[in-house]
Amino acid sequence: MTDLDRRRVLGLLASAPAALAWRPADVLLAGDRSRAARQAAVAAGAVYEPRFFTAHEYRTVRVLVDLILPADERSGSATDAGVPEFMDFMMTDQERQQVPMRGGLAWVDIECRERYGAEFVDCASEQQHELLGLLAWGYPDASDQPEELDLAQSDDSDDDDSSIRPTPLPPVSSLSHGIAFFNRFRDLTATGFWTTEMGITDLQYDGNRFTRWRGCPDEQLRKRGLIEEA
Amino acid sequence: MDVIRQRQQVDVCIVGSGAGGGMAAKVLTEAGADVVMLEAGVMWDPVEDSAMLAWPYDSPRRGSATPERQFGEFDAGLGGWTLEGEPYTTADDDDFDWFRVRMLGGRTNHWGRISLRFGPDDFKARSNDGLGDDWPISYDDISPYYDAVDQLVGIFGSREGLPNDPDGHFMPPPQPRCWEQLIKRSADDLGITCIPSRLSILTQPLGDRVACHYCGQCNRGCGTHSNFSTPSVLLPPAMATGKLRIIANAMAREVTVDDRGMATGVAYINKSSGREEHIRARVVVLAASACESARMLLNSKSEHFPDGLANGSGTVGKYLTDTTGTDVAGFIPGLVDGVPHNEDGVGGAHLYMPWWVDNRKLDFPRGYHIEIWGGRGMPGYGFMGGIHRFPGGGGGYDRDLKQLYRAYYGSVVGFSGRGEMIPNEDSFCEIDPNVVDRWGIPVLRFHFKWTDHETLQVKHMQETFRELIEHMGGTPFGSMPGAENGYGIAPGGRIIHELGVTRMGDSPRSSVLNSNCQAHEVKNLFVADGGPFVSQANKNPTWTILALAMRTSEYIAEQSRQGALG
Repeated sequence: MTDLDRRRVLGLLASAPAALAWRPADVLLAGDRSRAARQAAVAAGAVYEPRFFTAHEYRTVRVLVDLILPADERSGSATDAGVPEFMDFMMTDQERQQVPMRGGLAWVDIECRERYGAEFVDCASEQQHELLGLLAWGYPDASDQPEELDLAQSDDSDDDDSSIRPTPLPPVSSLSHGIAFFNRFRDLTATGFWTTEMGITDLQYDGNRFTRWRGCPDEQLRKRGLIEEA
Repeated sequence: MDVIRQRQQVDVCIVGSGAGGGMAAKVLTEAGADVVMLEAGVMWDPVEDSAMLAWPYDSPRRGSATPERQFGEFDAGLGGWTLEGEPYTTADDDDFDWFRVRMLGGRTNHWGRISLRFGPDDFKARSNDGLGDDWPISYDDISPYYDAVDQLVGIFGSREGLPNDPDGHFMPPPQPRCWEQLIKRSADDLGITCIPSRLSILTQPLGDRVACHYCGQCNRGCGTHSNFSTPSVLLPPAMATGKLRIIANAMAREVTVDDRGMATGVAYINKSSGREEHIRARVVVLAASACESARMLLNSKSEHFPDGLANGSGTVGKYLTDTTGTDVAGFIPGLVDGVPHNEDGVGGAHLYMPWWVDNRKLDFPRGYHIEIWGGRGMPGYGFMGGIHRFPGGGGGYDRDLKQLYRAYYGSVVGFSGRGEMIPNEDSFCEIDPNVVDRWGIPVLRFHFKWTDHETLQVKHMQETFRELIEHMGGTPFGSMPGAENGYGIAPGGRIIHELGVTRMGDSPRSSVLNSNCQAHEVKNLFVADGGPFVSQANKNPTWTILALAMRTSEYIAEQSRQGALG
């Protein structure tokens, strides 16, 4: 064993909590680290130059994500949450996503040129909405699967969650490629939005912290009919 | 190649630092043995290295998988279905995926802490239905060790008195979450037993370990040592004896033998230097994971053992099984628009369903248990993916879509069946005659086939899960897979419960190990991982690996004291 390894094993022993309580300093440290990371991300976003998307693609992405998840009374828009930057990172991180993304954006432009004589970003707002109205409901075929389905965060399992097969709807032949692209793009938009501090606050997710679990609150149990109305 | 040979002989060399290796190290060092533990991966410390309490936005990839961490970048488990430089192969037409991690603690860093005892019937299944083989030990032989593991490691659960799901020394279980109570209500209506989970997570302090803080992130590695992993629970007391030396980045290659056919130690590749080194040991304990230990035996050929060490029976690599599995999720309208609250709980479900049906009424043998999932967990990569597949109108875009995500958050529940496979002669591993890994070590080739026993069981899972979802007023995602797809059975290896490739038995002609997990042919050679299992049972194997490893290690200590191991 190297000295370094031995020190780490000894450190492992020493770090077993001596008192029967979590050290508050550790919680503060974890919080500081995540805040610093967040600030760095924001700072980087201010001058963001995409590494995967071309300038034209990036403009298209920025318009699309805000059409999918616009600002409302509870939270900001997808671009406010840094979704385009997230997508650009994921394209460089997972190469298998590159061709479907690039090709899907190109499909949207081809379709818009044929329908409206202009590329998507240059179309009128009502034309953009008309196209999304054709793509945003339904799915083309059973092979259109989300990349990493995580409907309920079952990541605690030691077992693999094999993907869940949807019931195929009749394919919409002329639009099927666009629908397949849009479904993937919307899923990625959702991850990019809801996994930010803005998205998590909007969802009122209240965990990821030290607590004592004492069971489900009565208000929820009453709502679900698990206890009688008071 | 230069070989560095250690002059000094140690008492025991353990290969692997997972559940079995960790338990062997604890018991043997506390019995006074000098122990060297070889770990093929890196050192890992759940306090320093865990991503516990990280937010998804702490990383630009929001927790998604990387080649190094295939269950997500925040997961503790360093590894996956593929490892750089360490291939394996499968026979034509066979599907088998082999999950390996390379880190201190092995796969105890990546698991659901589901800690189920095998029951009396599980050790004598052949006597009941004529399939597979009985174990050479009974529940009564192992139950004192289950008791000791319960008290040493810590486990919560409830005393139920179920005949083949024996109770243990349980801490109080956590209260069920709301969605779990809804599932239980339907399970009760349908006559399916639904009881508190049995997980090795502390709900009360134990020794110097604090109780769970309910962040729900056991899989990331627990910074307070409140769940079971080898580095949290078994290695600290072993290190405290001053008798354990851990060598990381040590890829074990071969068990060496002398001209009497006794094991003399272990040859390994020092991955940092690329050089081969050797540990001399009076006793060798293989705990490298079932298939990795079988691979070592098959690669340890000598004059005495031309077909691989301890393989006179030809059964090393045979009787390979994995747990059967399939999953169904559903959308539950009754869970839409939940009252926001923190329901992270422990890292796993608070309820589960043990096997509940009398097989005489069924067209398949043995059974399965059901794991459940759902709730308003922390958003991560893939959050609410596939929104277009929600029944009754998913998808869309714009402000309505945003509202849909909020409303549907927490409205999905899922069921995962985990059942017993019967060993069959078409499922085994062997050395691929043509392929070596980056260190020149011949690799495994897998053969794997399910039979009707397993696919009919999975059909029953699918039907049951759909019935549960529909009884809850919900709609399953997707239609039921057909017979041509094995009713949705997961490929072999995917449930990560490979067992049986160095199985124990009374006869040296049909088994590798005796009832003490000692090689029939090499009395100072032992196996302490999932290899010795004679059957799968429908219970996750870790608790039995721990109990068997404790029993084996006590036997080694006692035999050594009597001078009986060489």
